[in-house]
Amino acid sequence: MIHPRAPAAVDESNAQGDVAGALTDDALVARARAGDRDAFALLVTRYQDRVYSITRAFVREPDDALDLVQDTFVKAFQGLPRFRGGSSFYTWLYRIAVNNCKDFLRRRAVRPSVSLEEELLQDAGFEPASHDPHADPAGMAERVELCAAVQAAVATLPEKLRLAIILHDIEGVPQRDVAEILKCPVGTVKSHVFRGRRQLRKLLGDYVGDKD
Amino acid sequence: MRCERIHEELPAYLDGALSERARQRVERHLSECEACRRESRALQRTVELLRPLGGQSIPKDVTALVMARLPASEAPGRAMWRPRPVLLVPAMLAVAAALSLSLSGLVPSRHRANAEAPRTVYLREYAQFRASQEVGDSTGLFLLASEMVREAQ
Repeated sequence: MIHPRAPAAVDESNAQGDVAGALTDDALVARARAGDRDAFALLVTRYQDRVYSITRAFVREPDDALDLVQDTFVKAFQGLPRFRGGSSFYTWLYRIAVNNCKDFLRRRAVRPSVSLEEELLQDAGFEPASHDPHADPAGMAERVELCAAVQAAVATLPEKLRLAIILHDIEGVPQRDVAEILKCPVGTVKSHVFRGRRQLRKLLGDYVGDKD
Repeated sequence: MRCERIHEELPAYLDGALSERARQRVERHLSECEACRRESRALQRTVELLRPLGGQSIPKDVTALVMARLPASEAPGRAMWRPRPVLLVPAMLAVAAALSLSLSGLVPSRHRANAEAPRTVYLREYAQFRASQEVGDSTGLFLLASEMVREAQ
């Protein structure tokens, strides 16, 4: 069975009286709760990219991420009767995705300790930034390596800081929505984001420092 | 010691989350301290490096895979009434007739005088979506038919 690609995401805040509002998450969720699988399929199609992106921020292997994305949606379907609409569908779905990833990582016990930071950065194929003035820091290869180094550094963060960084700084989820996803106060999210950034800056050391 | 305190406040400063008084204090210090300016730039660069890691597209559409893995029961978490085919066929015929009349202008519609109602758009998009699917589960069709009847009335 071939499903259409995701329709444009619906901005719930603009949904009232808008033509696009006819396809709001709320409308699809209501139908899915009533047993309309096609409505749920539309939700899957709509959110699979974003769930995948969050999942990849936790899990390096694309195949593992694809499996986890499917698990997330299956759990979401099973949990629909308990979704009361007190929060938006997407924050509820993200919470399932995050918990799914956390469970996966616990099972695999892949999260390295902070003490392994240097080793992890080296594993990512990244050498400390060159201070050679003739070096080309903007080169594509270096940027790819830098991305790997940043991902590795994020993976070393304590879980609470990592969750906040992934959701807010990497995925661009507003802090109030992160608070909803993680079920904690917005002030806590801010604190975790700020502490996470400072730890990342330390972990990345010369990679983000001035070159001169 | 003072630099350490500034370092602690830098993330909030860069986010514009400090009070006016605290912001001025940080800026005053930054104007005097090269080391903290470097730290501020490094922190800014750290944040800039994070965003490109997000927004990844899924390499393949998993919708069909997910749908194939859903539990067999009709509705999530509970059983659902399923229309019997003997009821479904007349219902679909009635819907088709009502919709045909409505679209041809023979039957007044409360939506026709205005711009296309969102619900109508939804129904059309939903029908297009259904049309792209293999016909198997008649429940969705029945719900669509029910909606169309209400819409045409």
